[in-house]
Amino acid sequence: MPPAGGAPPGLDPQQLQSLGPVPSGAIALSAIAVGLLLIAWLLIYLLIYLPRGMIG
Amino acid sequence: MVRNRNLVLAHLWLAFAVFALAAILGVWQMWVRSPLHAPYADPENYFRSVTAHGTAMAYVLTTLFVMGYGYFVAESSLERRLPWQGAAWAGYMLAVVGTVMAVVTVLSGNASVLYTFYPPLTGSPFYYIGLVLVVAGSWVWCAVMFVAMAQWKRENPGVAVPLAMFATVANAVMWAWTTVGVAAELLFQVIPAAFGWTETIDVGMSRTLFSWTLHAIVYFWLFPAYIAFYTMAPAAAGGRLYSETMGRLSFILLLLYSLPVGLHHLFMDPEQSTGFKFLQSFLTALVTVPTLLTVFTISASFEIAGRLNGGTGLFGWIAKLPWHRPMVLATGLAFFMLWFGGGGGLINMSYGMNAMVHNTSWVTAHFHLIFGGTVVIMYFAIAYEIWPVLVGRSPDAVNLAYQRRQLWLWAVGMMVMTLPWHWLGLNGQWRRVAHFDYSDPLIAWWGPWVVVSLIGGVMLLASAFLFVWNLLRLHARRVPAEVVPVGMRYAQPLYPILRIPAALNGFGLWNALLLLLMVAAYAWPIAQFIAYPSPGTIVHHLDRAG
Amino acid sequence: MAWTEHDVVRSELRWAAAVSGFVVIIFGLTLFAALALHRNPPSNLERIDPKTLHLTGEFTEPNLGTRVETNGRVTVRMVATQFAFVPQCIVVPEAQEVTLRMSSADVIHGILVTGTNVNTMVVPGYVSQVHTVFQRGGDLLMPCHEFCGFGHSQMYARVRVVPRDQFRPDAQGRVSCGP
Repeated sequence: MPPAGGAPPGLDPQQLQSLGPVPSGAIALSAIAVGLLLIAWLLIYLLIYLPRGMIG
Repeated sequence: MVRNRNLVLAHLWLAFAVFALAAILGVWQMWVRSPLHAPYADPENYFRSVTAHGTAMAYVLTTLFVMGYGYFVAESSLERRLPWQGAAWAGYMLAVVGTVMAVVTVLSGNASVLYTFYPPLTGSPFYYIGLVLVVAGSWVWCAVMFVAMAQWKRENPGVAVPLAMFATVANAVMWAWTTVGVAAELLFQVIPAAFGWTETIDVGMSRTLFSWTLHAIVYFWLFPAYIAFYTMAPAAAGGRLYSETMGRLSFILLLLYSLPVGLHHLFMDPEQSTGFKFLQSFLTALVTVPTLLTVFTISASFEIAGRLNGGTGLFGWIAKLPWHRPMVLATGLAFFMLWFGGGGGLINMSYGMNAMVHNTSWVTAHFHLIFGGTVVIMYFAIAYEIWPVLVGRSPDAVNLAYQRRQLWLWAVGMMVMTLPWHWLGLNGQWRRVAHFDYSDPLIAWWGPWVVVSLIGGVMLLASAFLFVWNLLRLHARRVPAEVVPVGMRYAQPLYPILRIPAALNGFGLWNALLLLLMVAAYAWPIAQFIAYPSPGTIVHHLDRAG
Repeated sequence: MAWTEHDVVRSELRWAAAVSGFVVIIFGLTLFAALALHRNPPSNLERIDPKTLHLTGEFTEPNLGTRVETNGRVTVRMVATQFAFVPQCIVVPEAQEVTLRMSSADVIHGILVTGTNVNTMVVPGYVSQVHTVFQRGGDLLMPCHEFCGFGHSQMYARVRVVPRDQFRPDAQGRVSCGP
């Protein structure tokens, strides 16, 4: 890949300014979604799966 | 410029017509299972319906949609006439003949074996031959996709294949690999048994061959939805695709890790040992990664759109997205359902945890939500997006309102239908039951929840009819809108790829890796049946009286 | 903002690392449950001839049901057929390791036991074996959970989990549901 240089093409300076925080919003949304997923999985693991006993 | 519009429309209309009819069967089935009294409710009818519903939704809707959309992408993204058009039409005819053969056989009661058709239960050979013809038609599609991309690359050396086409061809590669399992099972085991040429069948082998197909087939269904996420939704939202490179990598990871994982459908089976179940469980964990990557990349793409539209703050961009556009709305609803459907899938894949849910309603809930929900809602959105190009007429504001209504109804109906199912499955409600004895105190409390699910199903049926109605209206519009699109406006990446590595522009390397993965994952699990032949199981013919 | 392409790639890689961590946690806990807590998919690979299941060997009728072996182990043997389990009711002790061994005389069946992790396919040609401990007493349902024909909906057995002091084997070591 060519060495990373300037700003993304096709956007004017005001647009680039408004895009300053990207991708912090996406990180926040994705992290919350995946975090909740982990919690839900853990709750099922601890409260339903483990108490139901051995299998093998 | 899409020239083969009739080819695309033929595929999509067959897919959607079968879908709408199958939806009616689905609601009737839920009615039969509920404490409410349903007409014609005997087990023969029930299992005939389940087979028809499953075959239609899992094999016909999906394959025909993927094929039609693939032809559309090949012409619109490559901006080039489809090669081998005659072959493409021949493939369609094979699929039509196969569909008619399979559906007629099922509806006549001669193949109530369910769409998973586990031998030794065997139906009329014409059911299986019908399915083989549909697959054969799809193999023609694969060939056309490969040729279209190869010809374009020859004419555009060193240029990146448009992402939508790259992903479509990845899907074709995956489909070619995955159909080997079910084709082998049908051609070498089931069809000979159905004709009566063999009297016994190796059930362990057939379940294992079928499992080969079972996981990647759902990704075959899923690819169009992800193609829309990456190449259509960011444009509809008014933003940019955050990273095209990550998009390509995600599709490659999906191709690699959706195939050697079929044994996770056999976790509870006695014919496979711990070692290979564990290996494939590990590989399944890897296939979660591209989906989680997609969640971030598409969120970032939408964040760009929202911020360009004036959104500020950590989450303000969400409200500033053009939710009035069906593609944007559908993407949001799809991601919401993906949390639940994907989460359920995480439970299913977690090795020992599978014992908690195998063959319960949790499984039925999971695949209705992830496929019927996240994936099919994107099929609707894709149809709404490409129909103007196909029929030369754009929707007006009223049409768009009905499109949004239909999408909301689908998402809400799907949640209402599947959430109680998940809960009941966790409490032991088992699958494929034509009649529950609600007078049994152990299961009486399930009744009201089954009725709630049924209400969700009715909402879905209404949404299915509204979808077909919305498409018909687009055909019927007398007045073309002011701006009739002649081509697709695909999403622009934030940074266009200027020089593309061969690995991200073709499949030679990935096919080689796949060969290694499939040998490692499946060679012994299949070879063991040849090395240690098990005593054959007598074939049970469901289509013969007496 | 990702002002350069390099920043975009770096943010994606950071997210990929986080996602991998998530997968490692889940897979690790699954592995822990498998190795340390005895929660594994039943994977005993043992072949048997479905055509002679009833006639010779382990699954003849006198052998079916719950039996305390001479070494003290509790073993339950059942046969799955269209459309009943034989026997249709079994008694098992609470809080003691039980081994379930099942096979099919005809088509594919499967079982789960409500409220427990007991779940296995019953595939003709193979013996399914499940080790478990029933934690709580009571009457549980053991339905056939895989489509096996038109009578599938009516196919289920009952599992009666009794306290240890009520689990009394007869002279041959067998315990059955009785009236």
